[in-house]
Amino acid sequence: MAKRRYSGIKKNSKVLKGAIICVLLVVASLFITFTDSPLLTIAKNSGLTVVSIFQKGISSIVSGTKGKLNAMSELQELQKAHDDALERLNVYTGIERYVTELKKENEILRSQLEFSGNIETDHIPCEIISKDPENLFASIVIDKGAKEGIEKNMAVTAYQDGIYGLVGKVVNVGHSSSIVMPIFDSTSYISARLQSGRYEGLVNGAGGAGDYLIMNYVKKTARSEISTGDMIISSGMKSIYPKGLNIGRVNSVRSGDYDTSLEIEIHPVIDFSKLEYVYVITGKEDD
Amino acid sequence: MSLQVKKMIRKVILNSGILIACIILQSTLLRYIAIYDVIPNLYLIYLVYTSFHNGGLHGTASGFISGLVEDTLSISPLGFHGLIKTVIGSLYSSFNGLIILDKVIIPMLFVLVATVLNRVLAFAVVSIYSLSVPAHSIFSKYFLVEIAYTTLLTPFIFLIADAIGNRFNPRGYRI
Repeated sequence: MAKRRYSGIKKNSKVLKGAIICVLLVVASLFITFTDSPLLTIAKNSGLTVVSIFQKGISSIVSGTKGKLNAMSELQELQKAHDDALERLNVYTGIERYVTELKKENEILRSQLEFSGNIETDHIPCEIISKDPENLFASIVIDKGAKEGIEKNMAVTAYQDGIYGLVGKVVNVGHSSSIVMPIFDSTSYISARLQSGRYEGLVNGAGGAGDYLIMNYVKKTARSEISTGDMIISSGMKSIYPKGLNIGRVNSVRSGDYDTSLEIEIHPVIDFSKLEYVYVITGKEDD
Repeated sequence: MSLQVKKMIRKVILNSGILIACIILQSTLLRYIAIYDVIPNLYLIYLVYTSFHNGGLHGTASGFISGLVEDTLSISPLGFHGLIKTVIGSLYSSFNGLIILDKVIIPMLFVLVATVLNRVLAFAVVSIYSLSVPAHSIFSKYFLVEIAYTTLLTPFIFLIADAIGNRFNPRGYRI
């Protein structure tokens, strides 16, 4: 009798367990199905806001510790850099007069040509506080959000090794943090052109760790004008990315016998593994 | 509410908290020990550990809660990791009492299978729901690095988790 009751309880417990697992799986499935609904978007962004507070905390502790550890060696380097800077200052003083003249000349020429290159795009400097928790995706979390004026689909850039390059776009915005999708993601598409030959194409992320991108739909006739190392820039055509941002350099060019267009492999100008700070382009343009 | 249920809820909350801490560590600190930009999946190791040791619905509930939190920090849609981690948590919970763990081989084997399963399930979810999320390829060399890195770390994480469990409850109550 007791044995039968025990086996009954065990069976009920298994049924209950199965039912709970099914309910949770259905709930998760519904979340995925209705992922674009405003309510779930708010829930996701709120979660990002709360958890990123801890990420910011850890990130700042790490930065502080790293800063202190590097302080000693940096002091020595600073002393050396200071001496070098003094030497350079003497040289630059002479150059300054020449540059001032060039600037004036440049201003006159620009106004004559009604050159629009003097328009600088507004941007918000941000620090990367974390990356995707797993290796499955390649998103980046930055320390600025809706509070600072960041909106979904804003372009993200960075300055690295003297080059200003494209990083990606904002895909989720929390109160004080945002998620950025890098350009090497396989769902990233950028309208681009070759800086030298001006041929247009479409740059697509190749996934992976940001080693390379692919540029498609470049006319086959452009083959002779493209060489390794040529810069690819954003064309700005019907795109969220502003015109003229550096994307990468040509690594190799491929084309099948019966293809009408070229496939160009691009090495991004930004090394994503070294990235620490980025700039979110707000889209407003100031003179 | 019975004392047993209260105890279970407390355990689930505590384990979910530890899993969320693992997620935060993974997204911040662990990138400093990345190999070829690949971080070890500490979170998955602990999910396997806690699911197997506690059995019942612990792995299911903890996996679901922590998976949803992971989704808020990731580019994935809400519910993506929630679904995958619920399946993994439930699977390893069902092994509770069926397998006797040693210190090295079985934990490593468990986590190796979990790492592969995690990626296979991710691709299954992406395909079934036709999601346009930029998931990395399952066959990339980086995935092999992830498998090796995570599997090799497993015995140490299991040891640490055991030590913490014993410290909080010397009579054998595991967190």
